[in-house]
Amino acid sequence: MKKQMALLLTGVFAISTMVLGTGVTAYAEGGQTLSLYGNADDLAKPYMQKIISMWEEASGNTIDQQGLDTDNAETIALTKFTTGDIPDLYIHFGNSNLQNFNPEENFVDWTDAEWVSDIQDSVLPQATYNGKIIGLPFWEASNSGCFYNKQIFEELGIKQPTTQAEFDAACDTLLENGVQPIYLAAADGWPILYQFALDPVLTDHPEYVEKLNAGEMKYADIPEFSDMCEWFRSAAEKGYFGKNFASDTWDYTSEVLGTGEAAMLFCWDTWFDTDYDSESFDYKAEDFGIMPVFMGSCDEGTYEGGNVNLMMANKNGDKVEAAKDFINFMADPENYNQAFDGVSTAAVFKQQTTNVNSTQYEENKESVDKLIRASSAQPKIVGYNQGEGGKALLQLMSGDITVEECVKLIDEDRIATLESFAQE
Amino acid sequence: MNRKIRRTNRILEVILWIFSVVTIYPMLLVLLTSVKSKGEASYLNLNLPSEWHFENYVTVLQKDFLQSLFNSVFISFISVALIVALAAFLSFIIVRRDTKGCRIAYKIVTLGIIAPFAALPSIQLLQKMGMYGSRISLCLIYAALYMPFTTMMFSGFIKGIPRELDEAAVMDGAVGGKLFATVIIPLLKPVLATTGVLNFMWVWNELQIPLYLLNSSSKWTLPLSVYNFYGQFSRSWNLVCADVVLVSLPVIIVYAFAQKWIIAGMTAGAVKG
Amino acid sequence: MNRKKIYPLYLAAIPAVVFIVFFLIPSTFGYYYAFTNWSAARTSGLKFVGMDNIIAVFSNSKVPVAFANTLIYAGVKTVMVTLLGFVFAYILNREIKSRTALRTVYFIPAIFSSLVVGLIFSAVFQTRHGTLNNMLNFFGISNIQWLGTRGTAVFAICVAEVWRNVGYAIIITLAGMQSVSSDYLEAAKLDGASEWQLFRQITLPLIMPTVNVNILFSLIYGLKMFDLIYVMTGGGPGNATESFGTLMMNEMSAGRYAQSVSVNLVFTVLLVIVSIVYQKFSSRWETVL
Repeated sequence: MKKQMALLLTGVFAISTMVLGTGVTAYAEGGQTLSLYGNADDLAKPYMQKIISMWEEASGNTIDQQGLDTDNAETIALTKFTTGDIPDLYIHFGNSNLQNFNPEENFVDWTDAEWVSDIQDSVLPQATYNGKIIGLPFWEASNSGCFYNKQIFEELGIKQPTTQAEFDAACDTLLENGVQPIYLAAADGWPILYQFALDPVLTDHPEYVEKLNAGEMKYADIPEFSDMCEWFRSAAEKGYFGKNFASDTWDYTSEVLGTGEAAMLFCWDTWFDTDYDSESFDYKAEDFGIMPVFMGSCDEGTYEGGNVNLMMANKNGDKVEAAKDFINFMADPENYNQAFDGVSTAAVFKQQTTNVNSTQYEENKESVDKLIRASSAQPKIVGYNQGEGGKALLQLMSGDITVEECVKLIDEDRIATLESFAQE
Repeated sequence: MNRKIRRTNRILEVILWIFSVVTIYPMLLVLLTSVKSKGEASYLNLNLPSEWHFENYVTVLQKDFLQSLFNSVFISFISVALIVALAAFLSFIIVRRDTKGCRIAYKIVTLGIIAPFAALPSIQLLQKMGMYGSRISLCLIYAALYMPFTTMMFSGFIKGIPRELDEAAVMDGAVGGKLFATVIIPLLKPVLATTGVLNFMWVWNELQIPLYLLNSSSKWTLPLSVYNFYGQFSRSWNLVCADVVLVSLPVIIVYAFAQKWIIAGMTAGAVKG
Repeated sequence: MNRKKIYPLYLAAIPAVVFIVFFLIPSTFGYYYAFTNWSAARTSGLKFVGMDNIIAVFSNSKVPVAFANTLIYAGVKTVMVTLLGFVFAYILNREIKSRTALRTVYFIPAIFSSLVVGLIFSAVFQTRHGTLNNMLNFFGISNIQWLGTRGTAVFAICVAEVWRNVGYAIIITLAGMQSVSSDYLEAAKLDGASEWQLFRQITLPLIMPTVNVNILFSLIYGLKMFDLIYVMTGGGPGNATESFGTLMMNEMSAGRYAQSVSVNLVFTVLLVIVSIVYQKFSSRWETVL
């Protein structure tokens, strides 16, 4: 009897929640609702939220934002696309994973759009797929390099290095004076950011990318790749990354830099604005400068240009006109300048005026402009994997494997992905 | 009870409370962190917050809280009712009927706790049935997914109920469903309550499956809201903890209620004559 | 008495249908993909590749470590959880004044999802400002990199998983203990049975089915562990703490779908074997007792 009562109550309850539930949601009367899939983190960016609410107000439509779990966003989105559940709008980085989503079949081709000429040259390649522009880059672009604590450098008489040897010497000096040279959150894998080492090589030899992707070449065939691995190994051995790099996580970057425990960090300049907890620590954002990254593969050092997220529209959806309207709205200088007003970023659009370049960039503009390379490794190499590469490098740094084994591991992972994506 | 037993019990009680520190510590951690500022929260320790940020709860509550709460409640209640009811009937028949076919069926059901949720084929199936994206489809999937464990639980108990009871009831003319209701169910009370609570908890906390099977954020369940605060670059531990506390509260409430049933089962469900 | 009439099949019909349609069919279909060249880049026109993927699983360099880890996680978890669960349940079944409060306290860890438990314990085991290291520092011991070396990281993960699951074991065993009819116990007491005899001859045999469920459950879910590991170490350092579950997730997130299902299939076969072996053992126990 009790169970029947329970079931009955459940039924009543369920029905009432359904009725109440649908009533609680308020959707715009008369307007269309477009679905937007993306990584939850990405959707949460203030300029994204701003442009979305600006358009919702202007058009009377609503965008149902479905922010997917950060760690699994790729997998979940892929699964949905595979079953034909393709949203009206989709945000994704312009990298080689994008091909899994069949851009040519699914996304609107914007090659003839007016705003294409308004996009910076360094960024446009990422929005291109097989020669077509398949989305609007609407994202912050940062200059990535090596942060350094200007005060500590000054106190110890260290000048900004211009060669690999000078950089290593700077690290040695820091070590001798009890400062951890670099904070490397190796436990999280991706902060090892080994693409810094590859960008210059790929800029000098663009054909490497094609050959890698065609299976004609391996990382093992690129000497600079092994040089990079060897640098990490010896740097770890010398103590450049401290003692605990195997369990260091990205959570503590603010603290480690802010207290002066470590002097340098591989990162991107907008981080100071979005993530650095200036108030809590002795060193403020202005106390840090940016300098080139030296990872053993490029003697003059390098910076990396931005990786941008693309907003794409489902060309086979029934709300494609509204979706296109949204994207054109985003590309209008008046609108994007409003959304990015005061946001720390390098300019993605040529007519972008309201963005705020980082102080680090402004101070070292010459060096950055001279040595910056477009981000090539991560977006273009099929099977390029920050996490897996980071894991292999960590094993190398802990002394568990040799340089050859490390390169082999990273190659194997890349090739496995390459093969599973191969079009036969 | 004699004095010796009482003394042993008291000693055991004390020991248990000492050990409970291991359990209480992390809970305290979550509670304290939930009212700290973001910077302090990242240390994840038991220091008292320098300022008490109760507004963290308000922040967490803002994002479509009521809607996801309704969704969670709706889905959880229906799913649990289905799981428990279906598993009860299934295990009753399989264990008592005890034919070769039944034994094979039982083995297959046990495989159910091994095989994981297959996202892609499930979505395709639901699409073909025309119910992809609905909350009901989620309930049915949960029912199928969680049936094996509950079935195994019930089976274990039913095996422990002597067949003489069944036979006595059959003499009185009760077979099939009636037999089940009059003889078995009263004895199953503790298990019913236990599996009810467990299943409620599991369904309530599910994070992955709703993301795959729901296609509109208006249908999202409550626990998914934690993803608003947990990202790759900066984790707002204080908000994550506040969210965890809010999301865990219903489960604790359900458990507290079910406690009475579990104990009631002991006193009332014993064999009568 | 005709058993088949007393226990009619139709009562089991609906449950069976739901189970088959919403679970068995998708899962079986899912496994079929292991024999194709399915990936994120290719969703139609799949080619049958036979055993290629399965063989690749065995030559994957990460598999040996993952295999060993999986066994360790499952083994430690099952033993510790069942033992502790049993002991605590037994104690909590006695006439203790704060029994209800204690039961709630010990159950609460089970309420948290693996994600949250993983977060909590990564805080405990963090090298920097981790709870454990803070305590050690207090005693003058310097920081240990708990999550940075294989041995300690595996240990940390086991601790987290056991912590979370003892609560389940307790309430399941408790439910079993409480279903033991008090009439039996009363009668035996009247006959002069000691407490140990009561336990050994009456309680233990009657709750064995429940304990068995506990063990099997712990074993299987222990073998399947992945999201706790993912959150605490991501499978790291390097690949030191990977389990079959995390390997599967890695393949999935790289878009190598067919490979992911292959790992899953090999793993499932393993689990089926474990399950069958265990059930043979446990039915022997049940009759012996």
